[in-house]
Amino acid sequence: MATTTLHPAAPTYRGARGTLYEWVTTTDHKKIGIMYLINSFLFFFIGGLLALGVRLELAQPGLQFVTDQTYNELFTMHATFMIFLFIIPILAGFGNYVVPLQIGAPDMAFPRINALSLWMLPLAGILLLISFVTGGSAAAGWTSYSPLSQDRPLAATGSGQDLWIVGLVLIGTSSILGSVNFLVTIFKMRAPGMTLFRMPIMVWTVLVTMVLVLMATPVITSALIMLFIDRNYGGSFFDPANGGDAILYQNVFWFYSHPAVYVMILPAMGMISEILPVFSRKPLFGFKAFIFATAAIGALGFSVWAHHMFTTGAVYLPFFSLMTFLIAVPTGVKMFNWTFTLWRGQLMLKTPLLFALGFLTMFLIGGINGAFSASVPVDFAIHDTYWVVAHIHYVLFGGSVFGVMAGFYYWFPKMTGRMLNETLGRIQFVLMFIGFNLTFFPMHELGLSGMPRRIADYASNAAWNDLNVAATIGGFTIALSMLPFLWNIFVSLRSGPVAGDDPWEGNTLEWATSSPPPPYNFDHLPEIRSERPLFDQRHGQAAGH
Amino acid sequence: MVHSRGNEGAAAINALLVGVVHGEDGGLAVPAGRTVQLYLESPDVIHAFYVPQFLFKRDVVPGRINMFEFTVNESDAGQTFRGQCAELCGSGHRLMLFDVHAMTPADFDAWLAANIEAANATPPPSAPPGSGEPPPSDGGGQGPTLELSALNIAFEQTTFEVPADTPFKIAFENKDAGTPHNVEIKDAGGASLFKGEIFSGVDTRTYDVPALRAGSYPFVCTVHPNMTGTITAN
Amino acid sequence: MATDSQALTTTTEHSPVGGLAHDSTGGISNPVLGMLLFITSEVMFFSGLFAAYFNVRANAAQWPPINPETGEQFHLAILPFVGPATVLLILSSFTCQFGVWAIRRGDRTLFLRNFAVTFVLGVTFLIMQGIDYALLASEGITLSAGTFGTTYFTLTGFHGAHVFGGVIMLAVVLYRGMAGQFSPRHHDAVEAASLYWHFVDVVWILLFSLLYLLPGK
Repeated sequence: MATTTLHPAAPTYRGARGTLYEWVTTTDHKKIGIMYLINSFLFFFIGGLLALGVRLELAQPGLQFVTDQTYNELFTMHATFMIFLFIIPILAGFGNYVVPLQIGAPDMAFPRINALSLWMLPLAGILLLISFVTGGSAAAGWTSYSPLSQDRPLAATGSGQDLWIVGLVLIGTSSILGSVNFLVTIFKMRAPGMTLFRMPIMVWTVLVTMVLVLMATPVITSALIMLFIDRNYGGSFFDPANGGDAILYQNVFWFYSHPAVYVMILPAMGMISEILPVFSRKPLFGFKAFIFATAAIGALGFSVWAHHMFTTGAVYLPFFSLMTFLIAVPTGVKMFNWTFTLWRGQLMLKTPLLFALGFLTMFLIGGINGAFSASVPVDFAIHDTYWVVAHIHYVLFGGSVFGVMAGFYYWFPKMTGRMLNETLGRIQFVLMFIGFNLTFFPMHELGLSGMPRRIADYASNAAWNDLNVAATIGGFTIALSMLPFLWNIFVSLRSGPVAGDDPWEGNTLEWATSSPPPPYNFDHLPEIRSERPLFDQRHGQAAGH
Repeated sequence: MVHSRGNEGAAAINALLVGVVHGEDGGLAVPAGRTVQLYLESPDVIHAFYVPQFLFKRDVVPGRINMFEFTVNESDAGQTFRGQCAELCGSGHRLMLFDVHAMTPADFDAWLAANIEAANATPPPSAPPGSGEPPPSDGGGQGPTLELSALNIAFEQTTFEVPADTPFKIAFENKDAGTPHNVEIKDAGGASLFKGEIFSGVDTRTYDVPALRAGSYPFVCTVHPNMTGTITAN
Repeated sequence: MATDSQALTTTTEHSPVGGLAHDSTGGISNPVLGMLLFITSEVMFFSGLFAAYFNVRANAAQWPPINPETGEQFHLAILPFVGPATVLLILSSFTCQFGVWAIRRGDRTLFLRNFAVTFVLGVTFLIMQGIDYALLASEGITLSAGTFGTTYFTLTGFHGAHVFGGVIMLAVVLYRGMAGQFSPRHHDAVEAASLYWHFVDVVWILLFSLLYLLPGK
């Protein structure tokens, strides 16, 4: 664990801590990245509370706690917060912190726009939260299909749906600006010697993600604006009563929202691809294949959107089914690469690796149950049932959230200079893993036996009682797992062991500077001759890529 | 709205089951062993026709007519298949339930013939509103006309009092454009005592309601059962 | 084959830390690349709107549809405002590019003059569009006039908003130019603003062709 000696000419700095004013006005990608994490975790907890509300109501047949309308608000805002204010921004936040360091750059290309992107998020979050007390939030699902979301005369009869639209447009704009920033940074600010194929996988996944964000997000912006015009200015885009087309909304919406799911998973896959080699003491298996697989997923991701619309009767089924099956191929390549990275490795079973293993197993399940849905006849049976709820949570929670936790435990030492406690980490992992599976595995059976989504209640003779009770207990177990997590952060920030520059013996450039890094990131950069510059520095021989 | 056409192609079949309703009256009757064509139309938002045991669903999209065909196995005649809406459609979504009754071909033909005859029969004479002549009743004189309106999938007035044992009227104004509503009065056990004609707004109809014994009676909209109220007969 | 990694370590004097504004790889500058990427995202935004327009058009039995107020098909007049405005906007792209070439050569005066003309042409376009909007409204063509009005005003309205943004950009560039901030070596903002302005013009040419010139059905 070498420590860096500062160059004598380097200005002294007070470390990562600064005054509140410094944090609020900063343009430093590291502080901005940390604030992305803080904001995102805050909305993770809010979204989680909303989910607990859903699970509480569904545990027993009969409406015990909320009205139908309130229930619709609960699941709508649960998904909205989780997707737009938790998972997408937190992955951008990790990217913000890690990417400039991994490419040897002093900051992002446009630091002030970086700060703007950040601060738009809590603003949008406040708008969405306000909607709960101004007559009810949006309640037409996060998908907000027209004409239900047109408010004529069904759905939210308040400003909730409009606040929702404005909030999402703000978040989308934040994302688009961020994507421009990341792409210019990655293309233009790599350290000498770092060719594209020597970039860490994390940077590659962020690169492809940001291409998706750049190209797809504006399309949902257009859908939201058209919906706003329909709702408030007498427009007729999506309203069949005036010559509009309800299916048009779905097409424009899903053209973004499908690539969005890759935005929600690819950086997490990047993080796993950093962690597995370090904790297996082996290079990533099939480094170049992984890069091409990532690019293939990004490209194919634009061609499958209508698989969310198989039952509308308005879709060319064979094409979209085929493309959806095809996406399993590059994803399978990745699963093999990760598995063979672990194979015959010298595993360090620390918390980051535990969460990475959780990712691999849970994402595998999510991928498999998704493949079922790719088949049109199967989808006719399970679309809009709890099977889909199981699928989305296995890939988004089992995949993305476990990936986020792995990345958090991996990079916390770099961000703060302190190690997180291993015991608390293991407790969190076990509780989260058990709770997660208890919540979502029963939903496979619920979906197969016909339980539709988005219902506040179900018949007591439908035989769905016990599975729902199990899911509710699982949900509360997940909530419980947050306690050791928060305690771990609190305790480690105050008195965790000092991390030093490179506590994990990592391969990539962020470990070549102090923990936390100085404001300008690097005093000295090692020579870059491969995708593992630090490994090369430690062991003397460049792999010669 | 679900219209079904058997392969006989008789237009009269459109007269049976229009609307996906819940409750003991609601349901789609089909002949087992014959191919049924279902045409799905919506007057309001997107719904989905879903019968889990059929392993099939199809969206009901306003502005579009989706059609599909299905055949229930002859061996399943006499079975009832549970169905439920599978596309979020508002606060009544979880209540949008229906049954598919598979009948033997013979039973179905008999049932269909009986329905056609009932639909074609001349209705019994009744006094037109405001004619001044009270219809026969147990109590004295004609009952009141209740003013009831529906807006935004809710009744605007939810409690009424009427004299017991006296027929009365409901002047029902449906203010929801393009949305079907009605008034259905049930007894405490949930049995339907009166079911007014379903019609789309914006429009007004007057229902003639037969006398109610003393007691408390919930009323609902058959199409949107989350719309409720109470009539108390004293 | 480095054994003494210390000697080959990049020191602060040569590291990219030295200047955030200088490209380590040469070629296209950061702000220009950023603007090109941003324009890509704007193209996708307009694509969503165009997709809606084509869909609405394809589903309509007749296009343009019948105006309920007049009983005849909706009609958009190219004269006296929209046609000339189009000519002016196209002209403004030329003056904009002349300005860019001028500053690349170091001719600050010509650069400023051309950009000033571009700015004025842009503002004129907006005014003419506004007047045309008022005329259309008086004929009953508004946002709420069915699919025709909705698509027309949404498409041209957002284009107008982008022209407005471009006009602001031109104003900022003009101000900075008059303050002497640009030289042949350093004028990224000018390049970026001109790229945006050309984009706005191309979108208008497309819009004009589709909305005004494409035959109905």
